[in-house]
Amino acid sequence: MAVTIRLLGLFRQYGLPEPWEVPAGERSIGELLAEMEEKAHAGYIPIVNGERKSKTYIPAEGDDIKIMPLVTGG
Amino acid sequence: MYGYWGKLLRVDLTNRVCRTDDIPEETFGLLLGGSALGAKILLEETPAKVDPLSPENKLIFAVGPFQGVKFPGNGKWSVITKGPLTGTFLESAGTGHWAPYFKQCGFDAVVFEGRADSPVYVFIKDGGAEIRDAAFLWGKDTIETGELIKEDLGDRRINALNIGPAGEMMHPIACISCDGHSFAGRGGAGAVMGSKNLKAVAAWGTRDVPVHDPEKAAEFARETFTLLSGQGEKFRAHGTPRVIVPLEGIGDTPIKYWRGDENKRGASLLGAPRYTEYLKVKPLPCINCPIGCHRHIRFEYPDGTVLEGNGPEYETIGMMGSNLLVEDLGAVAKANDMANRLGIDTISCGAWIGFLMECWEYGWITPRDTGGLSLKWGDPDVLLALVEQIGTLTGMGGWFREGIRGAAKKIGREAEKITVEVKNMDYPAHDPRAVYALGVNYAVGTRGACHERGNPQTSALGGYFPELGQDGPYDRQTPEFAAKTAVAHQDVSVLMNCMTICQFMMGGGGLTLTEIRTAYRYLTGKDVPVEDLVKFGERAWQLQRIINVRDGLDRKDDTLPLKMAVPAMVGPRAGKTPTPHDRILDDYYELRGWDRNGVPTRERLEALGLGRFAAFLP
Repeated sequence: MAVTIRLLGLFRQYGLPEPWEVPAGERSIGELLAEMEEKAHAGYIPIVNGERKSKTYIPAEGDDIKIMPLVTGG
Repeated sequence: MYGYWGKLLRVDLTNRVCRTDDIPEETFGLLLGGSALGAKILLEETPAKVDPLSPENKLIFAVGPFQGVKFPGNGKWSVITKGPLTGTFLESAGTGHWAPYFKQCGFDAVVFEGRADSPVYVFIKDGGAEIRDAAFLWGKDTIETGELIKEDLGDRRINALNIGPAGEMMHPIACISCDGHSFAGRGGAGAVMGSKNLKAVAAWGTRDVPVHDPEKAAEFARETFTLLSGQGEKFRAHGTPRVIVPLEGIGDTPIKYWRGDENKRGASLLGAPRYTEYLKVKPLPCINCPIGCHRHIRFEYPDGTVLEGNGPEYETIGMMGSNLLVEDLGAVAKANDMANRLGIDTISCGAWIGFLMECWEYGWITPRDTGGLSLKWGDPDVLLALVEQIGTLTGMGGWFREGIRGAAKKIGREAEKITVEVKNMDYPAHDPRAVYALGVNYAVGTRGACHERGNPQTSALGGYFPELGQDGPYDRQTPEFAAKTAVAHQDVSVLMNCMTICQFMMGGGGLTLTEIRTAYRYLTGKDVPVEDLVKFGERAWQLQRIINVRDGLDRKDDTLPLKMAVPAMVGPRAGKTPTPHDRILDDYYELRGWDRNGVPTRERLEALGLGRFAAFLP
């Protein structure tokens, strides 16, 4: 089964599909986003079902996942 | 009482007397500290419309519960006063190393009253303070002043908040410096210090603040520090210049004094990653900061001179770079250093230069006015010349003694129509046409146009508050979402200014409201649900608005500058404006519990436990 990941704000500028579907139960969020994190020069926190999770979290079926960039200015 | 001393230091500068007053525990239960505590003191102890530069004005420095213990981001402090730029409530906040040292002296706040008959600085220490002669400091810049005070007190650990020459001359955008790299920048709090002949406030304390559960508090602080340090690693690498390129990409960064639509080349030259390499950047952390967003730079100019020290942040690059079409990062760094040493707000300074360049373009000012200088967009030499003039209020800088409105009046023609400000405070470097919530946020700003008491621009980068029931950031260019986005961001950011914890712990490090709740519980023994925590933010905001209203401000002052109703022709803001402003303002007033004229209702104040403050409303 596939899980949908929603990239927020800044991360939408890096060419990943919107919405982005990934297989459940395989790779961690950290592994899935490693390349984009480098490209974006920005960290993030995964919000899974309304709660912050670590990057080692592996998406499971039924999850609602949003990726909040950790950058700010001003 | 845990987390607080319940003590207020009063320094009567006129009579050179210090005394300590008690602060009842219920005050902290209602208002938390920092920004809200300062607003309460200002409301109760100063009359309506008091002249900000008179001895009757009060100058308050306040911290929150976390300053006496180790907690990430607790280097924050707030200064609260009547500001010379807007003539009403002013709160400005800085970081550095001062705040925990002050709290450990045994005080939650200090109030400066009256006016010294000659320059002084005040040294706050365990349980009291000493008023010392500052004649040897007068005329020194902000960095020299900090160093000289360390020498005078014989202890390099001691930090002093201080003003530069601009504060001494009561410049309307004089700031207060801490450690040479953090500034209470906006609104002219430094001028209030200058009006009191108060050059600096040094602090060094050794007292341990009472903590409800010291072991758990310390352990949780350590865990949180490690977590934020990891999550904020990328932000540490590039700091706020990281967002120059993406914010230009959505049309948020000012271009040509808010008339340009796109500036991709400028953004890539000014922003990170180029910024980080070009200026040879290292992070410059405040005390107890797991991120270190401030920048230490070392740059060698073609003539061999070297600039080493604090580097420009996003706002300075936005207002002195992109806003003026200046692409020379070395010149922006130099302008930043000049402004910091003189002790002026780089945001308003950049705005005023943009305003002058536009007036020049229209022919409203001539070579006779400028002393032969051509105020061309993008010219780094013009930038440096005008920072000097503005910072010293000489030449064209002298037109700004009363801020941009005064300068526009002096220039005449249509100059008053092109200013971009609210309540005489210039817009910071975020464009409401890119993020509609900014339009109403600036309009109702209790200190004028402000992007830190309410920072909805972070929603454009992807920030939101899941713990407050949000499902994601609201759409940034939908008028129906503007007011509620502004309210949510105001409540949280003002909460942080009452806690006096750096807001970047959230946006840059990922600190959550739940973690703040937990830390507050270990510290004070009080468990406050997240939805009640944000009410502290709202209470502070309502008190500040009462001060505004008492000073005669209302709906007529909650304005959107004319330029913000003009959409871009091309680019990400094409066809977009945060209008109709009146309707968005109505939505906002309703959410805040204010009447149609923008006055807080008694019902709302009572619901927040602020009923007795309704008596201050006219």
